[in-house]
Amino acid sequence: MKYQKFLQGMFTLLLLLLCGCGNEKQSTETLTLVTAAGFPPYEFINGQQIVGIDVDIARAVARKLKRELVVIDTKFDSVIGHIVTGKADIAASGITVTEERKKKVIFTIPYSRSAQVILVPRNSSIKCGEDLKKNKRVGCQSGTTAYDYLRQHIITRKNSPLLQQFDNPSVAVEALKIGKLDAVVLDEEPAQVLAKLNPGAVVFLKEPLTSEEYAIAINKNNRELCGIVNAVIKELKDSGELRQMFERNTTLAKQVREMEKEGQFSSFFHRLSDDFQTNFITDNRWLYIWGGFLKTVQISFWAVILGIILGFAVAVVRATHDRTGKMKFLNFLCRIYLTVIRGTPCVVQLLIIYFIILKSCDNKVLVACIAFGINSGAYVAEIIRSGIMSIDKGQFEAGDALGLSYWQTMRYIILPQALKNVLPALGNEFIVLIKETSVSGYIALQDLTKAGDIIRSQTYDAFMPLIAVAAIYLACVMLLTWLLGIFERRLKRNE
Amino acid sequence: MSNSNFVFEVKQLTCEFPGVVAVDHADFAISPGEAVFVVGPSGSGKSTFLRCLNQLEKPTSGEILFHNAPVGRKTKEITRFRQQVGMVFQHFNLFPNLTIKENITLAPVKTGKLSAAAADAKALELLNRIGLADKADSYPMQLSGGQKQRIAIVRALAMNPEVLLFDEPTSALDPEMVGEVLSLMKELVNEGMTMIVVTHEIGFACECANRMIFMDHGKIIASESPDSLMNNNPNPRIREFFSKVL
Repeated sequence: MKYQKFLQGMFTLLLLLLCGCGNEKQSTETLTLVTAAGFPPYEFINGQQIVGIDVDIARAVARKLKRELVVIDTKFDSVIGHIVTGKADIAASGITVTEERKKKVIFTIPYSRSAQVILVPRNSSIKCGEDLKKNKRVGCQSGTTAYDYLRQHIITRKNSPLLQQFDNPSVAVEALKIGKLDAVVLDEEPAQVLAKLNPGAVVFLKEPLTSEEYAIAINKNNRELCGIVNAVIKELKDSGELRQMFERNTTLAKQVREMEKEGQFSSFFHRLSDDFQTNFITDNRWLYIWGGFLKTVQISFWAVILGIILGFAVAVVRATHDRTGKMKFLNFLCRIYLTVIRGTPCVVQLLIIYFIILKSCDNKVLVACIAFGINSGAYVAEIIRSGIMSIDKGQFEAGDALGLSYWQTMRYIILPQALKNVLPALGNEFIVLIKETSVSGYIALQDLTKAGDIIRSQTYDAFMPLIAVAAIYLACVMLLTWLLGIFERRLKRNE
Repeated sequence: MSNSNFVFEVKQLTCEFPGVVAVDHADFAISPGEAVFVVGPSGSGKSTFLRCLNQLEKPTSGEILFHNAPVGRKTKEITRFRQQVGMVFQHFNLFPNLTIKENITLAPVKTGKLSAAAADAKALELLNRIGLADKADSYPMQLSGGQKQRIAIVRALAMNPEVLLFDEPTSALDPEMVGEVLSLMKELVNEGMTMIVVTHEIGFACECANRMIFMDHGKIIASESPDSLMNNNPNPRIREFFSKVL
């Protein structure tokens, strides 16, 4: 139950985020198109605009309805979801008509026939669809018919590492070009475009893997709109305008790509600043990073504090038991704690604490602080214990002989020296902890790493968000190292 | 229970370690103001005997009376008892994380014997006495071995103990440092401090001791004046030992 709720929550969250920049409400004056740009020539980005065959068709529909066209850009696998939930009126995103999809939406008449074709590097040993079954690494866009076909007919084993899903086909082709994939399966038109854009690098096989039809998807309750769109498509076909749309957009897609390529050489810095603009400035996306940074700092800070408290307590219990044989039961509990926490992955602990132990707690940051604190405590405990063990037993004896109690000796004599000895190891643990918090995204907590992911899902740019996130982690760790250095020097006064 | 005036009275004290009887049915007593020096060959159980006295080693059997009362078994009782018994270690065991003054004041303040201000005054008085007042804010690592051991002695004195135990206090020192430690110990003897000293400094023992104890294989085989112990002792084991060390 909880898990379903979580999934629903995640899905809603994703939709909200993705729609955040678009117009969420359907008004009578607008026609909302949902698409997944990055599929030339059907939909791709030209400058700041989303263009393509699907956009042109949608514009023709809007003209017919005398409405203003609004375009929502999302991931392909949530395009249908936008229609089902009524967030958009029509979905045109090179969507192949399938029985599965027909259960959720209604389709217009097809406006294009396509085939799933195989893109391979030049000189590849793959000559036909059958060759893909020979242990080849195959890429496709997630949520597409290519994926469904591959899963059903080519790579039928579940979770096979051979079948890799990408957010958009051009990324898959990049992976193909650098040898991380042996083949990419995708729709014919984009395959043609991508093959032309990468001359010499990739070719597509003449024989298609499977053929299919593209149509526009519309909410099941809106048959009226479906009829209008059908009429528009028929008009476009009959007047030859549809063919013109194909030609125009195929050429434009090529130009865009070439311009981008030229841009890469002529003005690297200009492109960099453009990327910076889209990733951080547009829609105030830097706010994701800033919010994520604050959460990461918050979680790391409290987890370190909790880790130190737990670690000291467990270490003292363990060391006391080792030295005096007392506190047998507490020592037993501490050993269970150490075994379980050090024996299971941190991310699994986080999920267990979130979904099972603290399932009624809605404060994700609090849950993360507790989970990471408990995790860190186990490592801190063993580090401190090694510090206590490193202290000469003469120090304990001197404390005993002076009539100090065991705890006074521990507090004033042993622990300060132990802490000094283990400070580098402790610092190391805290550095690991800061970076470990990057798995917070598993409980849909928007920490720094997750913030980068969100931006990536909006801009389809891996470079800028990842580099920014990495740089911020690096800066945090460097700051911590510097602070620890100061602390270490202060503890070294007595040398 | 006798009503004698002994500080320590030890009856049939035995301390065993796996495979070794370190102290074997030792009987011993010390009166206030007495300086007793414990000598004997290496491994004869001198240090273990001394460490049993303030419970750093747990005796296997036997009885230890402190001012005619047995030392309790409970941790709290032992801690309170130890506050009245000072100990000086071979390796000083100063606390490297604390300044010299803090080393001296820690125990009196934390055990509630003295207020912080009174402990500070006492520490300065003791440091003045041994001529190391200028080291009050130094750390142990900045001191020579002889200085460290003298600080360790005044650290024990700061607790105003009834008796001081010395466990080979000069064995870890460079030869030129031994003198300053011995002269401080001699001052304490002259002031009438009750002391039990395990040492290899036979000459010094002979000079200062009211009484000397000779231990061999965990047994106390002689307890007499330095003179009668060292000169023409009838026991061949003792004669052999002194012929080697003197």
